[in-house]
Amino acid sequence: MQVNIQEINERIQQESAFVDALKMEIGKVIIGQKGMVERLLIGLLGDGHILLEGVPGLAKTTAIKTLAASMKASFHRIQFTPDLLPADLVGTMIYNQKTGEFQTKQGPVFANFILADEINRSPAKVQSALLEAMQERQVTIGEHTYPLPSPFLVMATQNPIEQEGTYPLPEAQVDRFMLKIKIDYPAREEELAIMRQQISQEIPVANPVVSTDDVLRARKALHAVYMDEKIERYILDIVEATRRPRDFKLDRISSYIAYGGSPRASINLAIAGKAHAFVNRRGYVIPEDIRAICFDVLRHRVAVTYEAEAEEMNSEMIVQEILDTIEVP
Amino acid sequence: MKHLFLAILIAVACGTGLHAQDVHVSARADSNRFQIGQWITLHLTVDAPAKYTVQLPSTDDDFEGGEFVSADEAEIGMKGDRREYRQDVVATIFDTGSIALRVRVKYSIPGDTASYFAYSPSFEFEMGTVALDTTQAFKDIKDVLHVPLTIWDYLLYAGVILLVLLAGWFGYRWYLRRKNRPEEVPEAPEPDIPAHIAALQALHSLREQKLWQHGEHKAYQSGVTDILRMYIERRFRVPAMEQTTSEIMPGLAMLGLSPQTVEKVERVLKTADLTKFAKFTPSSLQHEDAMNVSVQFVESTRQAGDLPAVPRVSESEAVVSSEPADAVHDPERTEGGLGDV
Repeated sequence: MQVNIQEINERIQQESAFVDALKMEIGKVIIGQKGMVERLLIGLLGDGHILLEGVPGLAKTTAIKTLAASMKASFHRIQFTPDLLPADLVGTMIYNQKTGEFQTKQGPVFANFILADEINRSPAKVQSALLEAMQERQVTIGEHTYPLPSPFLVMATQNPIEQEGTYPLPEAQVDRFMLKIKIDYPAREEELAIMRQQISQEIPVANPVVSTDDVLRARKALHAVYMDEKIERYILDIVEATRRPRDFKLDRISSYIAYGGSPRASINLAIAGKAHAFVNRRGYVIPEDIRAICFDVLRHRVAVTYEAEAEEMNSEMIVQEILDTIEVP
Repeated sequence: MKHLFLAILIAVACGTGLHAQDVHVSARADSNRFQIGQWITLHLTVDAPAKYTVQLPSTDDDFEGGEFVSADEAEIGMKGDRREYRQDVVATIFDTGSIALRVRVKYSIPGDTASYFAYSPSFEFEMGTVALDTTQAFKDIKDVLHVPLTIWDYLLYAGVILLVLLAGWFGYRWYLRRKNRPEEVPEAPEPDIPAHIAALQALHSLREQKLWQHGEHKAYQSGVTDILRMYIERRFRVPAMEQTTSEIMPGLAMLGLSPQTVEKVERVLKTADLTKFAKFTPSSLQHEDAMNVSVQFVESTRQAGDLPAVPRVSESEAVVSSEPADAVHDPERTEGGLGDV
């Protein structure tokens, strides 16, 4: 198939023009956390969902709320608690005394952007209800199936501390998240700016600069981003190295990996790589795109053994080792 | 009421006393000095009304202070309405010192479901101990019993001897074969070609293939950058093969190379990236530039040594020098410094 890169590049340049405007608008409200904002856009463009890990107070809610506001999209925040029921999430049938009929009451999952706060505080049945909605993009209440609005992005958070009384997400369900982002405290200068912003009289508010249609159009354009076979093979090498490290001269980490990335890891790495190129307004993927997004795609998909934990190795160190060993095309 | 209570008390006291007086037990021993554990024969006599059922001593419980061993057949004789039992019983005492022993006889009265006991007078025995000579060694009570050997035992021994002989024979043969085998001469390791010579040879070979002239732009650009990255990795110990262009460049800049050199190398790597990943078709000038920049970069940054000057790749084939392998990774020994390309 003949590929006209120049044409693709021009189209991507055109379609991705809103990215800068969106970043600027979000940047008005959120100081720092540029990585998180970029990953949010990648998740949004890649039609995936994001699992976010970080201590409270790092602007997780503000980020997704601002993104929603910048796009004039609906936003719901759901606080997961141990007594939450699936019906509290997806909705239920309510008896109407006036009409004498049951009518559907849609739950908070019906929104463009969902913040599932502390998803691991709820039991498995509630987590499954959300994860099913994430996967199927539709919800069945009673006898009717309702499609979820598009774009639909779930940003679930997990608190890395206070693990008592939590229900950790099973590996199979964690795999459904396209990216797992770890966020850290802001830099000193950034925190100073945040502090000044929050104590000032006028706290900035994001205005709509992009429509949801722009995002849906960008998603279509994302498929056109060119990915060379060399990059595809590089992705496969990385993912395969998480499964069979010995084949890639990674004997040292072989005993540290319980299991590696699934084919969903390869697919998501490719999509996220394209989205990263798109966000950087490029019509083709380069190895830098893959390496930039690799940790976020693989960190929750590589399970480490007890031996690794004893050696204080985590999945990120394993991914780093793989990246340091596999030749870049 | 007071009289009734007194009458009941007297009746109970008299009732039990009457039974005990009815049965008389006596015992006699031949001596009152014994060794610990020695058998003591007691000559027992029991005198009881004939209608009573008497159970002579037969368990350890019937000997207070001793243990029952055995009893002979009892002799029973009649004296009017009374019956006399005579029996030799054997008891023993596992204790030393002055030990009191008493024999108990159990009996029952017709028409009464209860069992009663009569006791012999208690008498004392002086139980002595056995003196042990602890200076003597332990020895078996009996000699070891010798079991005669069977045919199967002989066969087993023969089999074991045969196996040992066979193992010895095979071992000896293995030893002889090993001894006569000619010694293996380890192959001499291939001389490590210096990084710059390997790079120049590879570049020359790539140029000879005329890839871009035949439309294989991607293969040509991949070849040039692979050679360049391999050279950087070997020469400067920067893991360039595992890094992207944007990761290699800061590493190169930190090596003290001139900004112009870094810029030219970056230009070559970026053009190759576009060719490899964005279907970019470089012009013939860009292809030539990639080759020339690479050759000049290698030549200007090569390590110094006692090697002859490497001829220009474009002019003639590169010659493998006799530079010692250990000089390859010494970044200090650089001929002409890290000058401009």
